[in-house]
Amino acid sequence: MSGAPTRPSPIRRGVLRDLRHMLLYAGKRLVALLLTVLVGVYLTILIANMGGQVDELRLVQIRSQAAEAVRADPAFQDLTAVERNALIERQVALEVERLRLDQPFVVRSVDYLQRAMRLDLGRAEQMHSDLGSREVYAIIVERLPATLLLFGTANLLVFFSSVFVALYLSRRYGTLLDRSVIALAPTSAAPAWFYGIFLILLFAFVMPWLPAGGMVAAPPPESRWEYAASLLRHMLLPLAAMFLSAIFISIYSWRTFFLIHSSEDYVEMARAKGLPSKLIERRYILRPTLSPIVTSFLLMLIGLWSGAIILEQVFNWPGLGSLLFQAIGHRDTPVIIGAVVIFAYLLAVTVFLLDILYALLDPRVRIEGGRR
Amino acid sequence: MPEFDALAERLQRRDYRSWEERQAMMARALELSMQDSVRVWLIDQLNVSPRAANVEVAIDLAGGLSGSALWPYTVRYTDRVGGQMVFGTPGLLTEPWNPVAGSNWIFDQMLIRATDDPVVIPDPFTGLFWPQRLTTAEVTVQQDVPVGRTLDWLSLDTAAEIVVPEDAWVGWDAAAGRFVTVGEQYPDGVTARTRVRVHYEDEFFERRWHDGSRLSLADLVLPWILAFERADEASPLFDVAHLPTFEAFVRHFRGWRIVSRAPLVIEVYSDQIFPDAESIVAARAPAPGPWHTLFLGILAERSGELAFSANKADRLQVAWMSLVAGPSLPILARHLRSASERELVPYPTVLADFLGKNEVGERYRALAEWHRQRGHFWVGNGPFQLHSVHPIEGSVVLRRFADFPDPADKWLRFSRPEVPELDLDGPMVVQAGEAAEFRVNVTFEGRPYAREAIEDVQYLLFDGRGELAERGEAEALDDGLWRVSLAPHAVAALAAGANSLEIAVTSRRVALPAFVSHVFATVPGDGRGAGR
Repeated sequence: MSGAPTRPSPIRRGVLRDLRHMLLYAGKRLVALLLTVLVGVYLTILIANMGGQVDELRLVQIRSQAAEAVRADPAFQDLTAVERNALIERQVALEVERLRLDQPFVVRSVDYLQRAMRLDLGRAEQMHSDLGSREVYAIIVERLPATLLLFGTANLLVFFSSVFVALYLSRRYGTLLDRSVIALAPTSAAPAWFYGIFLILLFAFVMPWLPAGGMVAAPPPESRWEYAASLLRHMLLPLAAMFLSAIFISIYSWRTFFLIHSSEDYVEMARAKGLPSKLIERRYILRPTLSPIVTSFLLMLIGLWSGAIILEQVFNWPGLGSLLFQAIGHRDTPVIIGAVVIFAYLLAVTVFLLDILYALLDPRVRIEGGRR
Repeated sequence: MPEFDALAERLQRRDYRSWEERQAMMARALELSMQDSVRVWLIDQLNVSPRAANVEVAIDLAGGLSGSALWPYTVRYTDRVGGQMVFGTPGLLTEPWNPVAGSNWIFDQMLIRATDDPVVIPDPFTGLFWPQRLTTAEVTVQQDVPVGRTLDWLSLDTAAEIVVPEDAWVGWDAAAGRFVTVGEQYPDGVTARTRVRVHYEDEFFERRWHDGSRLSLADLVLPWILAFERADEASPLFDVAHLPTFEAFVRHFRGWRIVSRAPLVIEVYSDQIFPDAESIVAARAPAPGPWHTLFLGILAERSGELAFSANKADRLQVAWMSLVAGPSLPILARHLRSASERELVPYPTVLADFLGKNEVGERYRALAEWHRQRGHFWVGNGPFQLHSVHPIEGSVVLRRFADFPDPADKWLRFSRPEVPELDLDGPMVVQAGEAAEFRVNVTFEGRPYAREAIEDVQYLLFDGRGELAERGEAEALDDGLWRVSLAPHAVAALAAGANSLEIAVTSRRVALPAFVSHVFATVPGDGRGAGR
């Protein structure tokens, strides 16, 4: 009948229902992740300030710095002790006002939190970017390329090398090479900076082939190609340190992972059918294991954000790790919060994306309420 | 300990009438400090600055390499002329650089000093100042003021009363844009405890800034105006963080005036004293700063875009001004274009009189070209110019300033501190009732130490109980050779047993005494004869 209302087809109904469920699920996940970020950031604020106890330390530090500055300045040598003490108090008051230490910590902590959640990173209290800016955003962004370059290169190298070597070894279980890698896996117990120290000793001093630290030569080469070559030379030792420290355990864990999946019934069936090994690897092992591989890859990518505090210190690498080290040393709360809040948001966004990606990559995964 | 507290404060304020009184106060304070030694102590620290074997540089005995004022004038390879040198410092560009209230970190200051040519330079071994851009200085102090002079490039005399001339400048009227004279501020006149008259070298205004522009009198006057403006609450340049320094300054400042423009002679009146006349000159002599870069900073702070000091920058929530890198540079570049187009002169009612013909346009053009080539605004007149800045890589490049007027060996005599090396020779056994003679060899690197370079050779004789038995001064025999003679009665006064002779040598060339000691035994008169 032409005027009768048309009912949506069952397929369309199914899509709409799936979409509704997906949006509901996404909404819940977003709220949960936001709450996680909120709690994580506030905990960071509390810990970085030791629940407000750092204020006491800062006051002592401000007072001693003001006293030292007044004492050492020849301009104030003619003042009497009373005048000098009054001057010190005046300087302390200026600094307390600048750092808002006259406000209760709770008030400041809530202010830090609401600004952090809005990604308003504000101004650092003590630090500057290398270029001289007080803006936390500028301070962090300035160090980002150095960290991304070094850690991105190292982690991508480790990730892809280990996945492919692990896949190769999983097919040669029990060979000499396989056993050697297993034997070397415990070497990854030592952190990268530990290897870094020995590499510096060997290749920068015993055999002075490579620079001991820094990002480029001093003075930096003026030609772009020479600059890149110098950068590469400076990257070699930290890269080698990170590679050495991570590669064997990474191969070992992926190899074990692939071995477990290689012994699944459907893989055995494929082998029994006489399918070529490349096809088995690609379709029967890699495809079903894609979700954990992608998860690991994405978490590795956002892990770049934090850099590595000690490694960057050992190699004098101007990245986010050494920035965080300085910020902790200066007790510069806005910089610490800035670094953490960006990491927290990146992590939340990644987790959210992974939830969606899982559904796309693995047909076994169904969103809540979906067809079974 | 109230007595010690009072003494320490008086000593710090140099509240004494004569050198003898000061020494007595110091001796008493030392004694009291020993009684309270749980809380009062000296830190004796040794810092090491490693360098390549073929590198020579003047290092400050107290401040090390980073605190050395002469490092840029003396650093060189011993086996070749010129070359490129790479050196590392624990920090670099820690805070923004600006000439008013920029980075005060020691490693930044070390580099800044290389780009600056002060009018006097401290001796790295004694702390006394030598002239760099001055020919001479005349210091006059009130009769009761205990001041001494060591170096002969300056003179020191006393006066019963030092009246500040009426036409000397003592303040700044920000609203009217003019200096306030002593006559206006002190209608009944004012006196000062010191007067310093500094004579700049004849070629002073022939010197050039790194951007090629010539120095002018405005370079000396603008920094003074700025110091007053920054303390004036009505001024857009007012900075509350500057007030304490300014207030301490005006407590002792009594005025200054330009006595002659060619050659340049300036008089400064003040109530502040230092024990050394050289230090008084260093504290008072006006030093030039390039007015054109300073003015860009003034314009940026006036417009509320940048601030000279960290405190003001944080209060205004703007960037702390940096002339070398960062977000300040585009702001300063904009102000340079604007000032250049309109040929702006800072405080024209005063400074126009001190500017050379066509100077304004030439300055701005030179600075624009400098900025185009190097990307920053850091202009000085020192032996090195800031060629390039690499903040993220953590390096800067300093290059030789081709127009620097001095020969490379002008300050080389300060490359090595001539700390006296001592050798004390004398009898091991002395018979009671006999005289004893000891010889002190004072050398440096094997060569005898010139007699006139030695300030004092003192000896202290301690008996077997460690108590001071006698003290006196050694007698000079020749360059590097001194004699200590103990009279028979002095030896007889020592009990039989082991004694110690301590020698302390102070040099005029280094403020670091050298010590040596010799142990000898005294035996009764009927004992064995003296031997070596």
